[in-house]
Amino acid sequence: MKTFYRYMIGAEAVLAGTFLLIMVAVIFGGGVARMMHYPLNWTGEVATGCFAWACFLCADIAWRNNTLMSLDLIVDLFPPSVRRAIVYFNLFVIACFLCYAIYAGGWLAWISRSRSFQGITGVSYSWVTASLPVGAALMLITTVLKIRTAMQDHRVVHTAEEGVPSAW
Amino acid sequence: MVIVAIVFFVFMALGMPVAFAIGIAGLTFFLQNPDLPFTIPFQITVSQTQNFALLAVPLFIMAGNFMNRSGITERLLDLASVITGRMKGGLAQVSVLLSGLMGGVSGSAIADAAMQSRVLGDEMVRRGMSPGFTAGVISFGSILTPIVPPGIGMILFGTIGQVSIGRLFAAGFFPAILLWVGLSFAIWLTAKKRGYPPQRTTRPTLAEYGTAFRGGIWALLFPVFLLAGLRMGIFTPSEIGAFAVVYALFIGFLIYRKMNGRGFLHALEVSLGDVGSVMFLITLSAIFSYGIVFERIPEVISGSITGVTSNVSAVMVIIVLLVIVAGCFIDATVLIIMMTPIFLPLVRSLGGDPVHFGIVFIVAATIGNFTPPVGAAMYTVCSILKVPIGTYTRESIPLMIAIGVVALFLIFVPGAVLFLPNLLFN
Repeated sequence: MKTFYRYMIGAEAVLAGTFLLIMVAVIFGGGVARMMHYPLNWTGEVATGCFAWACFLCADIAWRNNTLMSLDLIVDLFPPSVRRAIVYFNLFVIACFLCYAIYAGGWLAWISRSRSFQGITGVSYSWVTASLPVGAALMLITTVLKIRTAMQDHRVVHTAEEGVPSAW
Repeated sequence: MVIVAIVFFVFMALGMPVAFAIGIAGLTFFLQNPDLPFTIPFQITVSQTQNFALLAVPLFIMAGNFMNRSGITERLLDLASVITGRMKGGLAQVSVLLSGLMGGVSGSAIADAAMQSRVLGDEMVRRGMSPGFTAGVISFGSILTPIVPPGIGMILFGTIGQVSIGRLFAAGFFPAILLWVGLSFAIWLTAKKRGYPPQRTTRPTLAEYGTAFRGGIWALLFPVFLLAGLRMGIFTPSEIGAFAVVYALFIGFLIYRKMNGRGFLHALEVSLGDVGSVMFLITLSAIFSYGIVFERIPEVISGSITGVTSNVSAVMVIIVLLVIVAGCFIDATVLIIMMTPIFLPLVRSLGGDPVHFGIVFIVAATIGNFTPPVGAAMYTVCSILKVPIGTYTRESIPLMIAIGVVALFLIFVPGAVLFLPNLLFN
């Protein structure tokens, strides 16, 4: 089980990295092609399709590595026992949210299967919408594992030490 | 929406990742309005990723990470040291100029602050600068990075507010120079009072200038390429990000030859986590914004501000103060996403220029990165340099005043922001 999970994490990172690189390649290629007077009309669609998957796969990676931005200042004022309770509460609420995201996102992917993606016949929009429930399911696994770690380990789960990534 | 706001702040205060707090709070709006289809929150979440302009965000994050491994940082450091090393406050002056130079190749203040804390921080303290002032200079200096084009803040603001990104980029140059002069002056004054020595005592020779400029030329040319490319319509704003990634790889692999396969993979791996945390926040904030628009919150807030004054400059001052206060608790990315739809229509209706407002707004939102209790750049610098937040805050006061004065100048003199975009794009 552990090996399978490790394999899954690796596959997730490789996939996410590949999606990001494809985005760079097709957008850059599209720009160059237009400059050479051979505009390609499919680059935008490929890029946004990869974008959806990259976003939600990367979100799981960030969640697992504790690099999602959060505010620890107020929580740190509480005694450790209260802090532990807050951690459990947060993880529980997040798990509920993710379950709902899987349900509603899954339903959305199901009903949009006949809708074509960006008007391309034969390619269903479900391929894009499915990124959300799949990402949410991966994050739910991460959340459950975090709950388990929190129960085994008596330390309080914290965010990354050296600040948090931001777009700024 | 009051319940949504309360839920958001409570969850955030409880240390829940802001992305989840914003998504879950946004969802409570839909629970209060059961007539709305239950799939909408996630439909709009996914549709964020179908926004071609937002593609620029992950691309710029990658470009920044690749740039850091391309060997460009060392060259820019040499250049900054040749130009400002003889001024009072030496390395502090170098640090601020380096932030501005880095701004031309990357758009991230946090990345810049983290890099400088590692590269310059200890050396500044070793040369006699107090740790608090060192942290302040590195943190506040990074305000230049998002203002010098390209910047993710400008792309987000331009995308959400339907404002020309080319004009926003051009508009960033002069305010960045003003901010640099302001910070440089504040450092000079402090250095004079405390007797901080210059970094170098001898005047650099012409040959040294030449070598430093040649080394940094690829970084200096990048923003110029960008503006020229946008102006001539060679590429679109969303293509800039891809262009930046390819440019970083080009100079890393072929010009400076500092990049190798391992460095490439490491930068890509770092990017995965960065893209995830930033984009997840952006996509989920759509759930939150839906309620804001649905309940016409922008009109309500605009009404209460215009009830006080309808003078554009005064309104901008009020907005800037609100943004700075909010920025003490909320990240700049979220501020831009949530507040652009609220404030931009207000400024437009009063006859303000959207590009002018954009730059002022981005400066104000960036200040939130440096101010306690929750400043991402401050947190990063202080944790790397091990400086208590209180010391950092006390020693940063002159820098804060300098930025405040420049911000006021930018609000009341729109020409300072607008003359370059008007020159280039009209």
